[in-house]
Parts: sequence; C-alpha cells; structure tokens
Amino acid sequence: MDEKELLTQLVTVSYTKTDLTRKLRVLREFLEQKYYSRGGQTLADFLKVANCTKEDASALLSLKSEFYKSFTKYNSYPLLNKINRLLNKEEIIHVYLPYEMEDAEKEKLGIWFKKNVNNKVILELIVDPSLILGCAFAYKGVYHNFSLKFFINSYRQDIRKLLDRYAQNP
Amino acid sequence: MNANLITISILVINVLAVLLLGLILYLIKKEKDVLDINKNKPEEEIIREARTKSESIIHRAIQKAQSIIAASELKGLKVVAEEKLTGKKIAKEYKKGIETLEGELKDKFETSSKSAEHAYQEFIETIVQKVQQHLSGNQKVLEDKAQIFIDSAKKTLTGFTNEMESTVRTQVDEEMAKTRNEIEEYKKKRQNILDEKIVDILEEVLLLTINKKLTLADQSDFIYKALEEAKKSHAFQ
Repeated sequence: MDEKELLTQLVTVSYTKTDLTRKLRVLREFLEQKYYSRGGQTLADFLKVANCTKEDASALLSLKSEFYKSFTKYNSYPLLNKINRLLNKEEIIHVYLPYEMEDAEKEKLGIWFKKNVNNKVILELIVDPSLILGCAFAYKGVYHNFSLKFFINSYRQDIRKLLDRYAQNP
Repeated sequence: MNANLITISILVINVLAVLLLGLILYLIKKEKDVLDINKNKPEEEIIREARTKSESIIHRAIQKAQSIIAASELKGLKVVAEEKLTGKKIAKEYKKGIETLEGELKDKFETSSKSAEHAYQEFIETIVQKVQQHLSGNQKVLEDKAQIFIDSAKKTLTGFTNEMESTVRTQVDEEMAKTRNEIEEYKKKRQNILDEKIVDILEEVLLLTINKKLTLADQSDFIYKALEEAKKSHAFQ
C-alpha cells in the first residue's frame, strides 16, 4: 500500500486531525519498538501498555494486516513522514463549537460527518464561545454560521410581527 | 496820357539840344577848316577872327539853346499845369463819382442789409417754429414711448413675479416631497437597523440567560439540529 492508501485507511478510523496525529504517533512508537528495540511486541500487546486511549487502540487494531505489512524496517520513517505531509494537504472541515466536546461526543460528531458528508472527511474542532447554540463550520473555503443567529434570522418575520403586536398593544 | 505827353516833350527838348550841339560842332569845324585854308594869314588875326566868329556863334547858339530851353520849359510848365488841372479835374470828377458810387453803394448796402436782416429774421422765426414743433413732437414721442416702456415693464415684472412664484412654489413642493421621501427612507432605514439590532439584542439577551441554563445535552442537540439544517441547505456540496 502506498502512503495515500495508508492515509485513507487511517482516516476511515479517525474523525479529527488530532485523532489522526495521535494515531500516527502511536503507530510510530509501535514500529520503533518493533524494528529498533529488543521488544518486538505484537500490536495488541503494545497497545495494552502504550500511551493511548481505548478508542485509538481499537481503531488501530481494526486496521487490516496489509496496512502494517506496508511498513518495513527501512521505509517506516520515510513512509510516516509522507503520510504526515499528505495529511497536511488534505481538506479539513473546521467546525466551530460553543463548548469543548468530550471524546465520545467528538466520535459521534465525526460519525455524523462521515455518514452525511464524506467517509474520508477530517474535522478540526475549534471552540468559539461567541456562538450561542448550534455551530459554525468552514468547508471548501466558505464559512457557514448555523448558530443562534441563523435560527433567529429564520424566524425574523415572525419575531418582528410579535414585537409589532407588543408595540401596538403594550 | 498826360505822363506820355510830358515824356514826349522832354524827349523833343533833348533832341533839339543835341541838334544844337551838333550844329555848334559843325560850325567849329567849319571855322577850323577856314583857318586851315587861311594858313597864310597871320596867326593872331586869324585867332582873333576865329575867336570873334566862334564867340558870336556860341553866343547865337547859346541864345538859341536858351530860347529853346525857355520854350521847352514853358511848354513843360504849361503841360505840367495842364496836367495838374486835368488831374485836379479828374480827381474832382473821380471824387464826385466815388461819392456818387458811395452813396449808391450805401443805399444798396442798406437795402441789402435790410433785406438780409429781414430774411434772417424770417429764417430765425422759421427755425424757432420748426424747433418748437420738433421739440413738441419729440416730447410727444418720448411720452408715448415712455408709456409703452412702462406698460411693457409692468407686464414683464408681473409675468416675472408670477413665474418666480410658480417656480418657487414648484421648488418648495419638490423639496417638501424630497424631504418626505428622505424621512420615509430614514424611517425605513431605522426600521431595518432596528430589525437587525433586535436580532443582536435578542442574541445578547439569550447569551446572558440561556447560555448559562442550557445543559450540554441541549447544546449538543442544537449542534445536530444546526448540522441538519446545513445539510438541507446544501452547505456541504
């Protein structure tokens, strides 16, 4: 598998750029201990003791064996670097949220995007406290605001009528 | 003519004197010839005879010359006197004639000057009449023209005043309409600003109240609701 296919595989099991970067770090550590140390643990054993979350571990374990066979002693570092460079060129959806989500919510959000937008989408989650309710996102260079402002604008005419009614009959 | 007579008489006298002198010289020469012929005669006698003859001749010539001169003088005097008389007579007649002429001229001049004065008077009167006629005519024309001018000025002024009035009225109406439009536009603009501000005000009010009361689950629900709306509005395409 080349670096594009490897990245695609990683993207399918990741939701955010942070996720991906973290999984790449764990993968690098695994490959280092596999080829450059006396450890030589299997992936499952390594993941039990490695510094990673359960979700990361289960995601890495879910990857096919062909994924790991692509890495050898001699091409691990170059391949990982290529994957990193490709990751920086990938299109990312910046999602602005009114608060910091937990991992489970992030996963849920990531699943929604993969289902409704694109299986290969990568998210970048940013907290924007000025957003009240809803969210905003930037996709293909266009910023979309679907926060409270959007909802109030949708009901502008009704709100105006309501206010006029109150003004006429105080 | 008198001068010519005097001149002729003087000339005649001169010619006679010259002729006399010539005669004397001829006689002297004749005597000389006689003397030459009579050379033999004693000189003193000859001389005596010659002297005597010449003296008689000279005496006779002188007498003749004197008589001629006297005659010519008399004649000259006579002529002069006649001339004088004639001149006086002529002068007298001339003076008389001049006086007559002077009188006639004076009469004629008086007549002419009177007639000229009369004609001049008439001319002056005619001129005065004509000038008065002209003046009165001009005055009338001036009065008529002044009246016409005043009427036309009055008419123009009235027209101008009316025009100005209508122009001002139109302008005022236009300005009023413009101002009303501007007020309406301002009202609409303020309305729009208020509408927008209402949304911002509501947003700020909700920020103050709802944000602190909503649970994370509610927030999360709203996020998915927003994403569904984004999907419906084709924001992901």
